[in-house]
Amino acid sequence: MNTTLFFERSNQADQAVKESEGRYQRLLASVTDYVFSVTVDQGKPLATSHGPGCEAVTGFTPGEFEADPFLWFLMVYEADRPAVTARAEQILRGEAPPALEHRIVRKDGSIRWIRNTVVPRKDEQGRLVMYDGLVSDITERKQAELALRQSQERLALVIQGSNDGIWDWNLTTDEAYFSPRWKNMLGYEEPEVQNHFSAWERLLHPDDRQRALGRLQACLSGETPNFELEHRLRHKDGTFRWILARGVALHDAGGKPVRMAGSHVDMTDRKRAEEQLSQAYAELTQQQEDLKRTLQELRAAHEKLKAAQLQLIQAAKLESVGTLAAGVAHEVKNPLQTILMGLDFLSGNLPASKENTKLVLSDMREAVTRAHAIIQELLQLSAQRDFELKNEDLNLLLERSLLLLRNELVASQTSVARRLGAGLPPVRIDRGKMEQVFINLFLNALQAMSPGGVLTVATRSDRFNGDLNVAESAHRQFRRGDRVVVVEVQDNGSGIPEAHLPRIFDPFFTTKPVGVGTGLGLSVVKSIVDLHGGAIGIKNAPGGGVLATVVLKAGSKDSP
Amino acid sequence: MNDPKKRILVVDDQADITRMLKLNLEQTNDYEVRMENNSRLALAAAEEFHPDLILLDVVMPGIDGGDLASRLEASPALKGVPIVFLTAAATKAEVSARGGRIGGLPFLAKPVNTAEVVKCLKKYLG
Repeated sequence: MNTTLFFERSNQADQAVKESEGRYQRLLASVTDYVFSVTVDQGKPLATSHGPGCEAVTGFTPGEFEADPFLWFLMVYEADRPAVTARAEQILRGEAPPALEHRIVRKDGSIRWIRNTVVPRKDEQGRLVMYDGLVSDITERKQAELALRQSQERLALVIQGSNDGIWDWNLTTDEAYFSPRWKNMLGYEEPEVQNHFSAWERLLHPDDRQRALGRLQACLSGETPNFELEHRLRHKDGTFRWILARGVALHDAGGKPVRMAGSHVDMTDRKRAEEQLSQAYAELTQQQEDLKRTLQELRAAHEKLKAAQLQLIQAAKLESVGTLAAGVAHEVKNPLQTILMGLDFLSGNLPASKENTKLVLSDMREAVTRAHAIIQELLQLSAQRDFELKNEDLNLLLERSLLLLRNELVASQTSVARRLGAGLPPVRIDRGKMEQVFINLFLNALQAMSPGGVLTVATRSDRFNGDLNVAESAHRQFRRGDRVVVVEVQDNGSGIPEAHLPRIFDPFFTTKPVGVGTGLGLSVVKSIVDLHGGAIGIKNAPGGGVLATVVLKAGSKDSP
Repeated sequence: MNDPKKRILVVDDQADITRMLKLNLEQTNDYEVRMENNSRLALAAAEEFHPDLILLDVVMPGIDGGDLASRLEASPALKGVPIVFLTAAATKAEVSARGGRIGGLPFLAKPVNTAEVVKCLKKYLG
């Protein structure tokens, strides 16, 4: 063999060795197991031999194991050595212990988990002469196991910490897992609740059943992504607990639901708190309503008080006017008497040619008439106490009052629209004074209208309901539901300026031109109506003109 | 008028009123009027004058119209003589409400014009 060839060959051999080395290394890296044998004599290990795979697992070569008979023990992780020693002793005693899992420190210092399985070999006398072992690197499995255990521990901690009950339902078998807390929440011990879907169904409150199954179905069909349900389950003590259930469904590849799992939270206390809160809120609302009503009543009482005060002031005014009038009237009427008769005398003795003088006398006579009218109305105020009350038919009384005004009605070309209710109950009134009331109201209406106006007079029998046109004074006179007779007098004139309405019953308040009214007409009217226990209101009618409403208590036909 | 003038006694404490009544009534030539301004003297005046009708004020110092009316009615000399009150103490409304009578007697409310007085006198003088 020439050198060139030798070298070529040598190179080829090197190449082959290198390739073989590489293959071996790749093979080695994939090896996770190796075998070893221990020769035993008299119960003591004599020699060990390690299979080639030992380097892949431990980093040490078979040669290194051969050189150091204690290497196999020295590589054991210190904390695991007692277990390994104990097991070696068992084996040497001839026992066949199960496989042992423990840690080793590899040659490179890293820690690996191995599983060491030993098979003893004995001679004909049954003495242990050798044992073979298989060492498997189980580090990855151990790590996976550890991770799983940690994960499980974490889950357990979370569940325990949250105090939730856990359920897990297998839809294929209808078997269900209910955690101890799940059962305990309802007062049951572990074996008392069957691990089956039907156990939950049986505990359902009948009123919640349909809703609960509906929600389950919605989640299983994919209609809702999650299952969430507040429902009642029967406790062992017979009461119902409010439970908040939450969960998710798992589907197989075909989209069919196969499993559903979730949690239970006891929300009874929360529900109770909610109910108490809502009850407290309702009570608060009620109290607020009561307060509002009380406030309204207070306001109404205040308004009534104000009205009563106003009426007192009004009454006091009328009283003083009346007293004054009574005193003054007598003293004024006598001079008026003298003037009137003096005018008669002078008129009778006047030459026909003295036209201006006649005019002056006529004006003076007119002035006397006016002064007298004022005196008369003032006296009405002072002379109202002596009433002669009798049952009267208001329709007849109104007709008489209209008759007394026939000259004025004709002169002003006023037409009268009568809407007199049939079968009115009688009213107990002083006929003369009540005629005065309506004559005054009619005269006011006539004076408010242009010639050719329409005076509407309406009567009806009614029950007092508070919304008649007499609100201010009527509440003192009537109770709701009282039988009353209502008279309405309406003109179609231009109405009263709103600003004047509050003063309309004040003595000497008038909107008429000087000389047309005394300013006492409505004071007299109101005074008379009040003294009859009735009520009066005056307002502008919606369609224009003024509407005066007189409300009198209906009398009974039996009283005189 | 063929009948002799009717005699009217007017009793009122105010002289201007009696004077105006006298002037106006006598101007009609139907009446002879005597005035009396002191109610205490009215009964004597009436018994002396023999009126056909007495017009009597109500509110007067001394004896008031009501008392005086009783005394006049009680006087045999004045039996059947109508008495009509003429008063400032009542209103026209009261006159109509009371059927024109006070204490059963007719009355006129002041102020009253001559025509109304004459109408009243004619009514009670027949």
